Amino acid sequence: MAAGNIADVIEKLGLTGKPVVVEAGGEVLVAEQWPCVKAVPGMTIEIVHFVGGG
Amino acid sequence: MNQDTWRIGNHEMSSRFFLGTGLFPSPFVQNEAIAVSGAEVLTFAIRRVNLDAVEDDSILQHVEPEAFQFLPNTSGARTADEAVRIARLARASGLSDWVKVEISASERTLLPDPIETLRATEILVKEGFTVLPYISDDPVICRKLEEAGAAAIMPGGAPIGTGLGILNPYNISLIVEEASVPVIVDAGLGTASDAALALELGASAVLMNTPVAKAKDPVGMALAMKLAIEAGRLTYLSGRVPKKQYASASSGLEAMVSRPSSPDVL
Repeated sequence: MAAGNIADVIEKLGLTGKPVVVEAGGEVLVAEQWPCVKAVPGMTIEIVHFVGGG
Repeated sequence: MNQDTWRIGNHEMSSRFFLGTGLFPSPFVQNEAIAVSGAEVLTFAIRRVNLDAVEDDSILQHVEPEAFQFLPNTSGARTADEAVRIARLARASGLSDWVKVEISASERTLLPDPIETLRATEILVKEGFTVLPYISDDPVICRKLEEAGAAAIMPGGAPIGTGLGILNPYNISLIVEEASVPVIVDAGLGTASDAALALELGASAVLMNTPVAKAKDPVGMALAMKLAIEAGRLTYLSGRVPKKQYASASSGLEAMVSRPSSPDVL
């Protein structure tokens, strides 16, 4: 993944504006934090969303 | 019944029906079912976004978040640490700080792991979550969860998705009797009479998904469940008669027509 921040990554994946939650490098981030967190090579980024469940 | 509200934390509710959002045949049917159920709390699960199909609809595109209290679950977690991680992810959505702790020890039974559930509850309560643990119908672990700060206790009636109903009504009664937080019977209910029984036993509410979503007519079943919950609650408040071993006639045994009598006038 090219350098940038988490917001850039989300945009590249076509997820901007979607109700997703991101965990980057083991830290859970609220959306306001995305532009402030650098995406570095090797970083594990988890992207989740709400699905149907009981 | 209009004033018969209850609360979890500061959240006051009149509906006693928590509805799950899985397994419905379509978003349209789901929305209709939600509407007729009168549910104020909806449950969800947290899963990875499928990056090969990002256009896939998120469940939230079909539900108005402002209209409901969301209760995300930690399904898929096998340990307290996994559940805590899922809970933090759910809260970061900004949609809810409620979490249903659900930690399954076995994929075959999906029965909750009580030790890990207690551990996760302790951690999440400290982090300020409103914690509703899904747990076995064991009065001792339920009390421990309450002591750990659970906002409500959610014992299962039977294993998730089985529709077997309340397998141990005695335990549910004991749990209700001992708890000072709301008891919500979660999982395993199959039909309207199961839901009614839960409320008759004194549960504050029920959480159901499969019996509504997988019914032939989910919208009809959502209404049936709502009515059963209301009937069960009213039964509990009104006080059922005690069970007796032998018959007792409704009109008494005096002056029965079929009994010989000899009036004095003759």
